[in-house]
Amino acid sequence: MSWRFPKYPVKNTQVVDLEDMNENFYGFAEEIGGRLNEHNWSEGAISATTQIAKDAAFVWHQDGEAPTLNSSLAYPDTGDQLITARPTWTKIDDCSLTFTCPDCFLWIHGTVQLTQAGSTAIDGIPTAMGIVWNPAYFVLMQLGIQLDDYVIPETIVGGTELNNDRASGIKQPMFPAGTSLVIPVAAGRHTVTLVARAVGPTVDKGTPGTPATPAINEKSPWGFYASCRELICLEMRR
Amino acid sequence: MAEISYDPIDEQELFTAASLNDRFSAGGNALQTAINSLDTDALAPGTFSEVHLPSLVLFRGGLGQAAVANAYTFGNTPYPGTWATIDSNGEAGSGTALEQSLGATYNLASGQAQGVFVMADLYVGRIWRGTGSFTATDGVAFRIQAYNGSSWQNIGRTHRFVAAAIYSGAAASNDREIDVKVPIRTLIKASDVTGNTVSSIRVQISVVSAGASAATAVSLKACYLTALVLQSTVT
Repeated sequence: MSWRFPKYPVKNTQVVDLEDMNENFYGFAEEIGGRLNEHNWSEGAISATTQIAKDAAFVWHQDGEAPTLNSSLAYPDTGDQLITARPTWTKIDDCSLTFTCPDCFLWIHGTVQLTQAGSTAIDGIPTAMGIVWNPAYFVLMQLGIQLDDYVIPETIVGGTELNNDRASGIKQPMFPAGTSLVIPVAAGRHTVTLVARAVGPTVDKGTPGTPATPAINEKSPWGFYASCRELICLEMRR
Repeated sequence: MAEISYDPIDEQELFTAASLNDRFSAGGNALQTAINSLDTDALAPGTFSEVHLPSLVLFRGGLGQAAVANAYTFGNTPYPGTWATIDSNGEAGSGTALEQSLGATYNLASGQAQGVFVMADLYVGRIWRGTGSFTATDGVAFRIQAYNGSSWQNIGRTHRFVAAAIYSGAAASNDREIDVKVPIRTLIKASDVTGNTVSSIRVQISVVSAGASAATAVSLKACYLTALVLQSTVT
């Protein structure tokens, strides 16, 4: 309802008829149930935030993990997740959100500490409990946001689709990565997940038999770890 | 929602101010009572806009440090035991702390906002040793803390690390331009802070040196911290 004028306006020179009066009011009473819109409220009609439901406009969804940190950065911490050296997207544990929302925009942020798996010695065999890093066993890391089982290409940190773009991932021993996205979604149930993978060559051919490089069959890298991490999604309903 | 029904004026009924008021502003079934108890179904979608409502952005604020003047060293802020709030004057201090007041104390359990969204972007410049050579894990650590009115609380999931990235014990290497941005995003919830309250946030730094060399140092090129408090719920 925007504005509605009475069917039978009362005038000074007119005898008031009760039927007409009733007709004038029926219309208003009927339309109050479901048809009130922005024209029926004055500017500043609601003055206090306490008069508005907390989730009227914004709802946060959050998931994350805080591994127990040890004193050596090269050791994986309790709660770190090993992402094996494969080019398939792996869901990062404790970074997944499933919720039902109305037609709205989602503002999504994913941040994570990525750390390469270590080696037993400077030139040693890769191990999950390594004490040093060796770039020969480092993998190319990628991070992205997956929405309803589809990894949004624009969110991929460290290049996009390797087979198409020949872009490489991140090859750093410790890399604090972050990615974000604003996207409209239809009303319904959605799942947002932070995912990671390794791309590019994952086996270093090396030179077998020399002291500086281990045998070929020992040179497959473990991958990398997802340590402290958090996934946040803001449901923007208005 | 109260029932919205108009009780027509009958032929035998008095047509007076009182009989009108009884329908509109007085009595249990008065239209005024019903209108004051509207439920969401009474409103068309999108009825309320920014002109009708108070701002639901309860606070937004941030600060930036274009260049942190001095470095941080393992000697003064050794990881994991000692942390310092990032200062625009480095570990010499007396500059501007990378700390943002939220302008009020928010109770994240019972208040209108159940979360404080924090964004920190920290640009690491150099990592070096004044004497000696790197170990692979020489580097820097960051974390975000929240003030609950009486103490600073660690937000564990915000710990981030950057290593010097010197491999294979490169003995000749003792200085490296890292140039890495450290993005940290976190949503501070009631369960993150004792007492459910929060009034300030800050970013801290600690220097990592596997060989415990006091000469290990880190410089920061720029630091930014932003906080956003929305009227909201958290799931």
